Amino acid sequence: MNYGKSARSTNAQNWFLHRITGTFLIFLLIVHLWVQHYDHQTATIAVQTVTAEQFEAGTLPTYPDEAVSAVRAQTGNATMEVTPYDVVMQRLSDPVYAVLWKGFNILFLLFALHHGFYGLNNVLSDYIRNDMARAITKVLTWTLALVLLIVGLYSVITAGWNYSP
Amino acid sequence: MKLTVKIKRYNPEKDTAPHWQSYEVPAEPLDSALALLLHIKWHIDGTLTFRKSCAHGICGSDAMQINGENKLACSILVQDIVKGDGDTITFAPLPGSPVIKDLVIDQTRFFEKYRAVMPWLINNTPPPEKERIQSPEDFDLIEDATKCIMCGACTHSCPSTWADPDYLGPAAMLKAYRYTLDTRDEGSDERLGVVDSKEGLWKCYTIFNCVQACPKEIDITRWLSALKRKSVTARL
Amino acid sequence: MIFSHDVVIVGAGGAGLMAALYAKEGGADVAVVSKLHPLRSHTGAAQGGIGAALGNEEEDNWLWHTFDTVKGSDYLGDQDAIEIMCKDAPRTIIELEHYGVPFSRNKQGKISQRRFGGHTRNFGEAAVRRACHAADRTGHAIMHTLYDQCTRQGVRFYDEYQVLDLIMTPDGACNGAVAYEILTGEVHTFHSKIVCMATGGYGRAFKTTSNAHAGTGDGLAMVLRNGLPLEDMEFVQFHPTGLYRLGILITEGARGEGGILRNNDGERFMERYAPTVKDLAPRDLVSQCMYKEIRAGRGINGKEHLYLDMTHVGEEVLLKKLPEITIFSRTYMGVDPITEPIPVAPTCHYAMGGIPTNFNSQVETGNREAIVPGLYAAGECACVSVHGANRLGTNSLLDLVVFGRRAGMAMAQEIEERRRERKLPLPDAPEKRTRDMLEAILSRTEGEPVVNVRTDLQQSMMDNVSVFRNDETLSTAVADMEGLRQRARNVVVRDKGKAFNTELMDAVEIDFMVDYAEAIAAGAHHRTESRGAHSREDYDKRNDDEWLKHTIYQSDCEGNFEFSYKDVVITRFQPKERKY
Ligand SMILES: Cc1cc2nc3c(=O)[nH]c(=O)nc-3n(C[C@H](O)[C@H](O)[C@H](O)COP(=O)(O)OP(=O)(O)OC[C@H]3O[C@@H](n4cnc5c(N)ncnc54)[C@H](O)[C@@H]3O)c2cc1C
Ligand code: FES
Repeated sequence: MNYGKSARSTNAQNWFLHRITGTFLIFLLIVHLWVQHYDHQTATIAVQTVTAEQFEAGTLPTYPDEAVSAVRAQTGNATMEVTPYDVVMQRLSDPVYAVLWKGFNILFLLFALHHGFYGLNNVLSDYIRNDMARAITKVLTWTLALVLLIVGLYSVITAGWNYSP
Repeated sequence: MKLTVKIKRYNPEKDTAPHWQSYEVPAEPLDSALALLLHIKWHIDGTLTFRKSCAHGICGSDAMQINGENKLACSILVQDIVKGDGDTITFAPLPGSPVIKDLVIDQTRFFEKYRAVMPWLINNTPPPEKERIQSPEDFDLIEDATKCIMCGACTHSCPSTWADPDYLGPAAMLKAYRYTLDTRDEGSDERLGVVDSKEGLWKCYTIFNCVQACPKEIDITRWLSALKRKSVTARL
Repeated sequence: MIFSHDVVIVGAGGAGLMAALYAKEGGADVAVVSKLHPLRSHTGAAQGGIGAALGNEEEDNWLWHTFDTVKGSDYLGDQDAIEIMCKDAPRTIIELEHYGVPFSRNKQGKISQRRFGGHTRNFGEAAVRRACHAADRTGHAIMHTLYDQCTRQGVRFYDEYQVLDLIMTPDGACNGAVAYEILTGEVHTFHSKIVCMATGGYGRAFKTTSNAHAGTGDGLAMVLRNGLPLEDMEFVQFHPTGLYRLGILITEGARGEGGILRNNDGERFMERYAPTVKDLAPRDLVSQCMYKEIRAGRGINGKEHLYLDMTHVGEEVLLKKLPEITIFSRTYMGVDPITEPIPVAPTCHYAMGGIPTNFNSQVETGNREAIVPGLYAAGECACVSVHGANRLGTNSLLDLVVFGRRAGMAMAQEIEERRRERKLPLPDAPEKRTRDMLEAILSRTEGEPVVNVRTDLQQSMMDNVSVFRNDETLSTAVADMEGLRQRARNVVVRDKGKAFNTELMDAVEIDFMVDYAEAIAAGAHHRTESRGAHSREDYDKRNDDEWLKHTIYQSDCEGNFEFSYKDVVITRFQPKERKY
């Protein structure tokens, strides 16, 4: 084994980023969970939880009145049935509000992908020790990350565009 | 009291695979685990093979797996591992290196890694007439790491090393830390070039097994983390 | 197989590594052959310190150090060699520091120094801080650094090769060694221009010892068996503070930091014997006093040990300056030195005698003019003699580095001078004697196990040749050796394999052990006086008229031995009564 004879890897930067993304992810996750499940103000919380069977049978959770009426007001349809998709889209189609939320989600996406894929790469390189195979896994995993990033960015950025329920 | 001592035996000239063998050994609570092995070797079965020398935890010869944990046989007492009469103690070689015979492992790779990190003081400035000055605080920074006896208990307890035998491992990188953070050393560039590599620091996932295994109670993970920070700042 | 190198160093402790480093730096092709991996050598166990008159803490002077060493040796040390050692000490320590040895530091950032037994200011006035140290793991710090440096220099190491014989030409020059490769069971020849012995001490010849299991003095037996002499073998140092029954060492540094020895009455008995330096008297004296206390019935609860009291020293000092011994007491005795006194008794510690060398570490044939061409020796196995009849604490590590360094430089120079010469030709079948010996052991199917012989030998040495000796005990010991020799040559081993056969090496070591144990016992019997560590109850005075001389022991290793003598070199300090 020729230790250290290989060029310095990009591991130092990646490791450092891993710490930073890790730290930020804690906060991002807390905000995410809070917004998704606990916050009345952003009005996304379902009052009722739906079991898997109910969901299969097509039951939708009931939403607080504020959320339902906000969606209905926006669409001008005072009797429509409100789905979770509608609730999220309503939020993301608001031009001012959406910039904040999209920014948040893009950051979240980037950090989670880097954190997860750097970790995954480490684990894989522990067990895949052939240099060639390592290079291939590395390319493959980061390509996958890139694809997921593109899909993710696409969905986040375009979400709410031309939304009409 | 009487104990059952179970040992993972392997004789390269006879066996195709390791097997367990048990011995009944008289013991006192204050006997070291090494004393049990010596008793077997001297009085019961001379073919039992293990390394030993100082018998008080300073030479690093007899790191092995005792009841599943990496320990120095000479530095752990019977009373610390068994409850009483008739209990069993198991001995196995350190995991993660090829076994030569019984409890003796091949340390070639372990020392190859040690050599790889340039484990010596690098300082090309002509030295002063007297000693190089180093404050007690600066000395404190490396003192813990200088306690290392190179027994291998840490590296052979490290899941990263088990998974990837090329990984430099805690012992070698602790040496790198000991010299890199020595205020008298000027070789951090060269040395970091080795530890800041694919097989180096970044495979330490702070699992802390090394800290738990170290018979000298060195805070290895802490020092490796410091070395990681040093590597990052050196690149910024 | 035949390995060929300019210099072959046998042993990789402090002395071997130091010699290797300087020989290599001097341009020689150096191989170090060691039965243990170098880092497992017993130099790593040295705790307390290494002496040098650096004067970092208070005024000091190499002449004071010289005086202390001469007086400590009970005037048997060769004063020219002692002067060299003490004068060289500061420079050598500084070189070690430059190599990277992590010494503890004082407030000014200089190497920290502490008190040690027998080291005084101004020719005996009061204790002086002279022991440079790395907490209480000084030997470990030095040895690891030396190994690191040898690695850097590309010294060739043959680890786990046990040397079993020297190769001598018909003219009595040494040109190689025969070694057994433990891993494979092969016997190899090392062919060289120079061989340097650095095989360390023989504490394992005694029942209670601070020495490692590997401390079996092989080098001494090899020298004897090749017709070369040993010097001053009767002087064996017992360290006062070994853990009771185990013999594990509690450094003298513990007393240097303020520890006190107490008997069953709680009395600080050393005040009675050595009013000036008290507990910091030299080791021979303290060990003898401890035995006297125990014999007078003042051992703790009637047992054969006393207390080392550190409780007043304070937790901080113990944890910061003496961490290792704090852990040893806790682990092995279940005693916490912060709150309880440690049970201690004298333990066999150090060999003052050994292979006679001059101060360039060249082996002598027993008289000062005649050296053995191609053979050097350094460290505990050698006798320069700087320790005379009793070694001072911190002077052994110093001996290793000063004379190891000198050996290295002298060997490099000799190689340079002999650059154009070829190595002296090997004799026919240089390995024959070794192969025959191993074959004989392996083919034997009946006999007693090694442990029986070794236990009996150790017991006899402990009972008869320890701190106090007399005609009766010593005659017994010498007589015992005859029987032990026959038994040692007829041990049987169960392991007949080639791979890592340590039992076979145990059998060889016990055979060797009888040869030098006999030298110790016979030497002690022969010397009818008390001097330093050699304390005869039937001749309890030092006798300078008859015995101010080194004994040179020669033996055919069949029970026939003879003595000759070598004068002591006296330069500055005339022998005086030794009082502390
Ligand atoms: C517990 C303890 C504490 C001490 N503390 C101090 C102290 O504080 N200050 C001080 O000055 N002194 C101290 N000493 C004394 C000092 O440490 C020793 O005298 C010294 O280390 C001996 O060094 P050495 O290089 O001669 O031999 P060692 O370090 O014993 O090395 C011997 C070498 O020879 C090799 N060897 C032996 N036989 C063979 C063979 N047949 N073939 C091949 N290789 C062989 C071994 O593998 C080993 O590498 C202490 C000693 C002990 C035991
Ligand atoms: S025998 Fe030396 S560390 Fe255990």
